[in-house]
Amino acid sequence: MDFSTAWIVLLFFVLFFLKTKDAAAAALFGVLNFVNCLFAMQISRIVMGEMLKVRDPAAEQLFLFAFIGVVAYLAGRLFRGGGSRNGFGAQHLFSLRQRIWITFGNMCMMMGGVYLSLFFFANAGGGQDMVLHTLLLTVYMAVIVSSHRLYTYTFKKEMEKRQLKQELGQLEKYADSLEDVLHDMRIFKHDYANILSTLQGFIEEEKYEELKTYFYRDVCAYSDKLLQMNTRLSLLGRIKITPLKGMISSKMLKALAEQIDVFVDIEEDIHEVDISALDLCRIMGILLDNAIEAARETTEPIIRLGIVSRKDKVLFIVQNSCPERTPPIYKMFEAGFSTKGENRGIGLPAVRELLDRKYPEAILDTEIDPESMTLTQRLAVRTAVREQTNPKAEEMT
Amino acid sequence: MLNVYICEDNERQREQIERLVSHSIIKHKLDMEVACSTGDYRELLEQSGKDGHPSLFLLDIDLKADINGIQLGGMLRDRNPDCLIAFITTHSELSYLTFQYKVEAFDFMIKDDPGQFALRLEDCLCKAYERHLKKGGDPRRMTIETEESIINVKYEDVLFFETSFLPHKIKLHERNRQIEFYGTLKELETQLDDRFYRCHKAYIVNLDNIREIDKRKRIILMANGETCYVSFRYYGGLVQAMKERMGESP
Repeated sequence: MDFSTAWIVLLFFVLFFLKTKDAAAAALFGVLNFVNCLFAMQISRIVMGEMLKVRDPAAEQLFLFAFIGVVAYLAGRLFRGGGSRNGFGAQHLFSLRQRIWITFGNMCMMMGGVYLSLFFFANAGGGQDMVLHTLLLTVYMAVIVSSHRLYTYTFKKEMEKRQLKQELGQLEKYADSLEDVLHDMRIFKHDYANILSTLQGFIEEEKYEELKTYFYRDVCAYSDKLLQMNTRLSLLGRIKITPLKGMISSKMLKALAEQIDVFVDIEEDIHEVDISALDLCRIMGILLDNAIEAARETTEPIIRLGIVSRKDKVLFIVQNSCPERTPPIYKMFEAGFSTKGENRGIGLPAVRELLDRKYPEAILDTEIDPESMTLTQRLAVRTAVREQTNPKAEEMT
Repeated sequence: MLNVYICEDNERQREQIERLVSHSIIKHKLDMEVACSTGDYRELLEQSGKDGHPSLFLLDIDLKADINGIQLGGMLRDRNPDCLIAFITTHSELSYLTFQYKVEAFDFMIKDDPGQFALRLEDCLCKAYERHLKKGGDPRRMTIETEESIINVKYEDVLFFETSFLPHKIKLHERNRQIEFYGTLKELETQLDDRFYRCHKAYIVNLDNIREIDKRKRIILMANGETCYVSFRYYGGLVQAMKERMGESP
């Protein structure tokens, strides 16, 4: 074993650490590259020295680098398919370290296969041996690729299942909250009938003084109580994007559970917009989480959610009361910044990054009103362009 | 002269509103007039803007018709971008985010409590009248008109404009706000006055809000701690512009 190339570990460690600040992952990445290099050197030795019988150091170097490049590219391609975006926004299925491990595994399998087969090729006797080895190599590669595909697919399905389950849970909770509202309405109906008959009683007996006291003392108090009743949550029914409805309702219920006053304002039905439902959920989730986090620090916590369609746009508005010591807006957009210590506040920079990368058409507007200490976050998105489908053409296909 | 238009389907409430409006006009000596008071939105649409006077619309939400007050407000807004629209609503119909962002409503009044309502209406009329008199624009504010929307900002709150790496998208940094819009710095420069200076290919800075310039690193530190950049080419010009600006308003 030759350890003269161990500096590679250090090089890649430093490069990776500077980018991610994750020492363990960086160390792993360094080792991965080192092993890759060892494999590549062995392979290049066999190919150059034993098969082609070339003794030109320049050619050997060239081959080495080309080979490392190709392998790195292939390993990257393979693991990208399994590791990262799968229509799940920018969310990775695996953590950074897991992804490096997967790449490591892939690479070792690939390099190992190539190395072993080359080893055999070099020692192969005749034509028949060559055919056999080629066949074995092909099968080996095919197995690696297909098994990789298989587990990628399984993971994708698993994620989808998890997503659906979560959505279903959210919608169930939403349905429960609607049932509560219905229950309140039933009680109200009952009370209403009672009040009317009491009033009727007073009028029939012409007891106007009692009527007056009853009206001002009891009826007015009751109607005040009624006005306090929060039925606005049912407006979420106007959101016709099911996952979004589930997500928003769960956040709203969470806010209510934290004693935050919730105001929902949706006047029209909200249909498809020009952002994938998952990304929209992710963005709105972040905006609402920020709102809840800030609002609960205040003495009169309130969150207002508005979804307004205007011409060819849909505006998502999240307003919340915020505490006095709210940082300036630009700080909120700085990566890694949070009002509450480490590892939070990944929110807004992520939203901006996602919008810039995938939806440049969308417009984000963040504003603090210093007088009323209200933070307003607005997201303007185009309504989805319905593709002109020709029913006849569809029938024909 | 500011014309007042009222649309309320309930006759008694309409009469009450009319009465309150007339009272307030007399009480505060406002140069206003009820031009039309109706329960039918079609009549309102027909009558509105006939004599070319600026108008204030007081709209009920539930009109018992095929459209509601918000939609009516939207139609009026499309026809006349400058008109003032205020909604008369009940507590349960209150949707002021929609008022604000769909119709750009100027105000809203809740009619559940009659005493409160009269006060609010009076207040609304006075505010509308004030707004009407001030038309021609607030000199402390600037309006950036883009294809998509009109952004209203206070000059003194603007820190700088920054181009985004996406083509034609500009990010406006204010003290308490960050907003994006479509446009180019070149177009923008022509709309802005001399307190703004193009200090970089990607930045236009508000000279009044500069706290410090780091000459070596070519960083401008703004009044709120945010930073932007000045390029080597524009550095001299920026310092010159700042000196001139300081000379103007010491």
